[in-house]
Amino acid sequence: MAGQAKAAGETNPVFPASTAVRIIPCLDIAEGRVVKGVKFQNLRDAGDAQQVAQFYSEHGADEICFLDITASHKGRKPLIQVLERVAEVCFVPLLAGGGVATPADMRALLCAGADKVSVNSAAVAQPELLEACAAQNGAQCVVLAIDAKRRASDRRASSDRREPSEKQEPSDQPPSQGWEVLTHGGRRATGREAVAWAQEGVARGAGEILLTSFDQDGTRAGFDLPLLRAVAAAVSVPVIASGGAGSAADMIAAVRLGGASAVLAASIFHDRETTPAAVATEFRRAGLPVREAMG
Amino acid sequence: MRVYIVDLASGNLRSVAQAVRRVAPEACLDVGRDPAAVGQAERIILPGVGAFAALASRLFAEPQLVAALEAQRAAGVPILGICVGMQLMAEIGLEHGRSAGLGWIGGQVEALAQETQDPDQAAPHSLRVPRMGWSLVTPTRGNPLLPAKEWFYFAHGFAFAARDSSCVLATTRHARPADTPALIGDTSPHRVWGAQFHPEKSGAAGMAFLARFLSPVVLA
Repeated sequence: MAGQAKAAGETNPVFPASTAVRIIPCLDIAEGRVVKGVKFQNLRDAGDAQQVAQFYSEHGADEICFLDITASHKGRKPLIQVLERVAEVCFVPLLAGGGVATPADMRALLCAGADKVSVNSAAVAQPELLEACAAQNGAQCVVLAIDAKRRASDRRASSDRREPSEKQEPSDQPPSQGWEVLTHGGRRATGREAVAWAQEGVARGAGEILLTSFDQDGTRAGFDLPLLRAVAAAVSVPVIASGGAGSAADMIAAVRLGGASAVLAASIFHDRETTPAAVATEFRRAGLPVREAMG
Repeated sequence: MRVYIVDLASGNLRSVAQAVRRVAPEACLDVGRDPAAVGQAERIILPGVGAFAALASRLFAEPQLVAALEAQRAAGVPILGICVGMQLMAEIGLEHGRSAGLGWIGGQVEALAQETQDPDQAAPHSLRVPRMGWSLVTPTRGNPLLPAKEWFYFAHGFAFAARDSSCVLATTRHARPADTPALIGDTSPHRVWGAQFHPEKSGAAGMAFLARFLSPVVLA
């Protein structure tokens, strides 16, 4: 079979299997509305969650991600209501997270229509949470969300507060000090090393890693490929690349060079610069396996 | 058409119910674990998300429910298992220890093979476990539920190893070299099917699949 040039997605020397790379629009939710910021700051409104989600599900999204970015300090009710409304109209997988602190929180989101739930700050504070969630709902429901920041000793990352217009590619080399895990929407440094935390999280039951580069988030300057590579090599579960998507080419690089199983993006989809279906077309051209959406 | 979704406290109940309402708005849909309602149903769906052992223990804690399902199976009422609901139709499951299933389709549920990787190389996307994402499902035997190739959404770390290949109606490819069953069935004289994928999350393809299962024409 190997080496035969057949239709992408069936037999492919780089991707011998037919599981497609996923293209995931991310909806950051605040008060039930979709918002988008840069480096987790300066939020602006990007629409009604149900309408935005339906648009994406009709335009080729393989999965839709909902992150309640206010939940850690304001409770999760709005996210549950969003999910219930979205699940009425969208029949694609839904990933939800934000403020999940107990297996019961996770259960509530699953029952509202989520297929997978991400845990972030609470898992760092209490890693046993991952075991409890996986035991109750299965590892395939448990996504460990990691917000990682290059250590300040790395010169290129220390030029803080980059404007999004300044297209700045991340260094191709891993920073000498690695990446630090941030929690509480990037507001709190933890001292934890991101790659080691990903490994521990998987050992404790996470079935997937949602890996966001704090440095690249919202900048459209490309993913932090060294970070992706380091984490993808360290774990056997799928890794979702997040933070920095500016083009289909960035996403292809995240898969080919970063080892990601899925790519997540917000700004470029919300601003209607491209659609998941258009990105899928670029993936197909690049030889990556993508789903052929039916009618 | 009376459609009954068996409630094993699985997270995806709501999604399955919504998908059924979407494709069969005229159906009389009920969700629960009432043996009498199972006995009245014309279509039964057994959804499941989670671990085999947990769902099996919930199912077998209700012997009357199991008896009602067995009676409907014997009567030829169409039954569809989804994901772990499909896996429960096996004789044995190996997730979180060894536990018995319904034994409707010969075989056991085993961990998806995780290929040994060069430790310095990231595993290719396609070999990662759990397998999360959309895969092409190819029918290997003529069957009324899946007449042609289609993409469906999968989220699983364990897979059905069927003893009798004639029960495997469609397969999908994840880790080399083996294809894993995507749709299994025991269709004569019974009408029992199991989908490893999630039709309720598989967009238009999934809705069409469910519509065929619920169709009084396709499954007369």
